[in-house]
Amino acid sequence: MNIKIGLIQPKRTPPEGAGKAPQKVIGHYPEYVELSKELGTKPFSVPDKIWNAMTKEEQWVANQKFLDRAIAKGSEFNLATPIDKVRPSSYLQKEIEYLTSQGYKLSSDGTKLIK
Amino acid sequence: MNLNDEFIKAVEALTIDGTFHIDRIEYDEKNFGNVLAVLNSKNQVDIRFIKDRGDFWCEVGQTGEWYFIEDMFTLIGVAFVKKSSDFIDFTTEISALIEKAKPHIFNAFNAKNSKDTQSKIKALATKRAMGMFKP
Repeated sequence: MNIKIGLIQPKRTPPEGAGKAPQKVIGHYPEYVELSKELGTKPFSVPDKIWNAMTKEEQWVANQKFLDRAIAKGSEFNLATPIDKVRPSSYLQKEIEYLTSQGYKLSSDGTKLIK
Repeated sequence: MNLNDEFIKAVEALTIDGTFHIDRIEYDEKNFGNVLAVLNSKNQVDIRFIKDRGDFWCEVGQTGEWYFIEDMFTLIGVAFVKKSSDFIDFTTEISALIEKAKPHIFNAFNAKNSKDTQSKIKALATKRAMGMFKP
């Protein structure tokens, strides 16, 4: 996996490449909601009742569909949470691992995953 | 009892003597039922409990920088193994641990030690991230 670890903080300014590739946001709560609002992007979202009625496997299938649709559109994924603040075994870790398996790499400033 | 009431009860160990007060409790029904609950103290140390897509954890913070409570516990030598599979039970469990460890936590984040503490916690976080995202 091509990820460089460092003490990096996501920028809260328009991301590099903004306006070119479609922008998506991933991260932990509440930061991903805040950054999505700032960037005007729609994050992955499922209402409580539906999410909690799903099995873990179904949850990941839904999550992966969100990623796959964005990947198909050539999206870049803005990290609302720095790499060094990702919770082990979280969906965010799984998302980052999935995106890197699909050819995404951490940008030089550490704020997003790009192809 | 609703979430607010349950949470207020769960953090009583931290709030009962006025050390911490609840700043806000937010429940996001549209986003997975996520929860953000923040407690402030007069000692410039804040605590927040987060529920994110069903996972939950606690963070300790100062001036907007947040760190996993597990890293804080590691730094001050408090043994912790997450046992609860329920957010409110977890909150109760962690609140009791923080209450016991609060002199050490406040000491770690006082004007003299804060910079060093944050640097050490960041080193722990970087090490963990390197283990998670091996090249």
